[in-house]
Amino acid sequence: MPPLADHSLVQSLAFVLPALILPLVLGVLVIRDRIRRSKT
Amino acid sequence: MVVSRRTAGTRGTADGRRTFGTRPSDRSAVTARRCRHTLFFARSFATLIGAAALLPATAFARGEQEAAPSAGGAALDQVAIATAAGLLVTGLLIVLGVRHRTGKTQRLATVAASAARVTGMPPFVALPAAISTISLLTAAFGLYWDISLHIDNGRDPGPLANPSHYFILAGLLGVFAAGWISMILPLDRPSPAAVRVIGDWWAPLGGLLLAACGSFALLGFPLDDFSHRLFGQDVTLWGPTHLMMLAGAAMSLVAMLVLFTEGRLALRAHTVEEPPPARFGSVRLSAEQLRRLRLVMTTGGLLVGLSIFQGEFDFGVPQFSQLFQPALIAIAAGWALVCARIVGGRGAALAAVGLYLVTRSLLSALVGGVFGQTLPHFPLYLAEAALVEVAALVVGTTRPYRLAAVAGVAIGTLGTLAEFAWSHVWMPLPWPSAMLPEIVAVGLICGVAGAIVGAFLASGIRLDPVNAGSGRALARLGAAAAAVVALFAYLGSTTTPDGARVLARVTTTRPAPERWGIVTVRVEPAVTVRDPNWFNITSWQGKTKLRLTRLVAVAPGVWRSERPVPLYGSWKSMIRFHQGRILSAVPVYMPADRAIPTPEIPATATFARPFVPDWHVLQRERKRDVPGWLWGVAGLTVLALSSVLLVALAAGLVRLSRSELTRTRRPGTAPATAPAAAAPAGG
Repeated sequence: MPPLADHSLVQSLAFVLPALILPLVLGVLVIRDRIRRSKT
Repeated sequence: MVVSRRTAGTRGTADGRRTFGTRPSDRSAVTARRCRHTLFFARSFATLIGAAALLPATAFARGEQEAAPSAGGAALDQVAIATAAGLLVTGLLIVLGVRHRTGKTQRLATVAASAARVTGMPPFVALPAAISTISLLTAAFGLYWDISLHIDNGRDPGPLANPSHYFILAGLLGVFAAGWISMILPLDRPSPAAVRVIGDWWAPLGGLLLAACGSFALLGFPLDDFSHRLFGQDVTLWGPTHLMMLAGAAMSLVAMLVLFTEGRLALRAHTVEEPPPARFGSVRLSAEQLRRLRLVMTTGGLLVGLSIFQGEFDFGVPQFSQLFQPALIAIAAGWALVCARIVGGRGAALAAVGLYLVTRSLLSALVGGVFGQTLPHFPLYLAEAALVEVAALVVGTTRPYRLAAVAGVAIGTLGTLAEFAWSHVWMPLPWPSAMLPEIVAVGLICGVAGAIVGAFLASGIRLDPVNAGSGRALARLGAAAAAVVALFAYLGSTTTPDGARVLARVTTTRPAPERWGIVTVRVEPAVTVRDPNWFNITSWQGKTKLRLTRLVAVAPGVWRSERPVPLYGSWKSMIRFHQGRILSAVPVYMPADRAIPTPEIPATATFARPFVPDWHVLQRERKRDVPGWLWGVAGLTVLALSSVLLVALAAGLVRLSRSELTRTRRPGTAPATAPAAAAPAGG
């Protein structure tokens, strides 16, 4: 199988995903919250 | 005073006063409970980090057998396992947050309260500060070890084969986790500067910034992979994505300063009493002394963080103009030491440098001594600290930008001269006397610019909205940033001597298979090398320490290596030449590299080779056929992301500086009892 990702990516996935997913989830929640508040 | 009992890790007393301590009668029961909770938390944290480390390590164990000597990549199963580990850690952090905030677990609150009792800070500051301090030290150790490993060994031999990466990754994840924990801990609005997330969830500004710094630094890793695919591997500390990792880690110290200040605001908002003194053995420190000590230690940490960028110079393989070194030293000194002096009072700049020297000495002893890798050197900053102290005595700290101007000029001139002298005592590449005027000019610009940033940071920390939030203050900050960007753009442009070449003769001193030799070179035209910053043979990646061998003039235009250089195995030996804007190299011996792929460059008995751009030789892995616009887009992307982080930090400091005004203006809120936080410290 050809290489799918570089070493640094494999090394980092386990550590990096939390730091990317959590802000993304929070970002979505914040935007939803702000839209709701602006409507009311 | 109305105090909610919902704030994590705090207790409401009968008189409504919030305490972070424990009644004596409860002590034994609480101690036992605290032990259990601490154990639980330690187990949870270890599970988080362990899950992150062990699962991909399994991938490594499986992948190692197949690993080619490749600059390339890892297979699907390894990616899948690492992704699963990442999702597991994410889930654990989310569950921790949800369970704590819905009241389903008190354990996080209890552990945070324990940290609060020990440190005298609110729980949302105490626990995250402890985690991020340990994490940053872990990441700093990993970083210096990693640089030395790459200098001595070259590329990583396979996925997850470099142990130092785990320290960096775990450290940066720890910084993010510290920010996240700070965000989820308070169940009320923790400070006037806090930011509303959703509903009634208010996150401490410092916690939010800390998480942002950790996230930004970690984002550098996947982008690094993307960058490698586009441009090939960049064997330099100053790759754009590497700079993201460094910047995120360094700026987390600014976030910690914000968090500490919020902690103080929280204490002042809920109690009129001065917290009891803290005891460390026989030493008793009042809350104010402890606060200043904390700020001074953090600015010392900031000095360590800002000095990371000088790494290539510290190790002796810089791939950029040598003028960057005095520039970076002056920026770091101005920024961290002026801030330390303003917020910490008399002697704070010297104390910050003391912490910096202890930290860097330990890191160098570990990397160079215990692990036997190439030794990282470091600048002293002692003269700069003394100059900042003198400047503060003369002009005071009441007007921070006046101090910044005076201290910045002193750092840029006298401080830079002191570092010039130090470079001749203990730097791998001393600064040449011929470039002294340029060194001082660069130091002057960067010293003043760094000091302005330091004054701005200190103004935010001491809640001074005039000097942190006014248009004039922001204009000064913008001007300092613009001057540094313009200077760096100028210094970043280097050239190669047109049509110049070397005629070399190699005199073997030890035969193959482990061949060493003296190299004699005739430079054509002879006038090419006059007053070089460096003209040496650099030998690295030989599975042992870096060797810098000076080329000594033996006749007009003829130079000879002052000792034999290695010409076998994985060693890469090259003539490196830097003079003014020229930054160039000539390969002497380079092994074949199947992964790039590129053939061997043998060290034949005699050879004639032209000077080529330095990075062509030092970064053989980098692709040469990438269009220029792609570099531009990638660089601008990283610049834009970095700007967002820096602007967020600056905006955070402005918000912090105004928070006391906001609080006192709120209806029904008593004005601050004493404007101590806004008063200059130790002026």
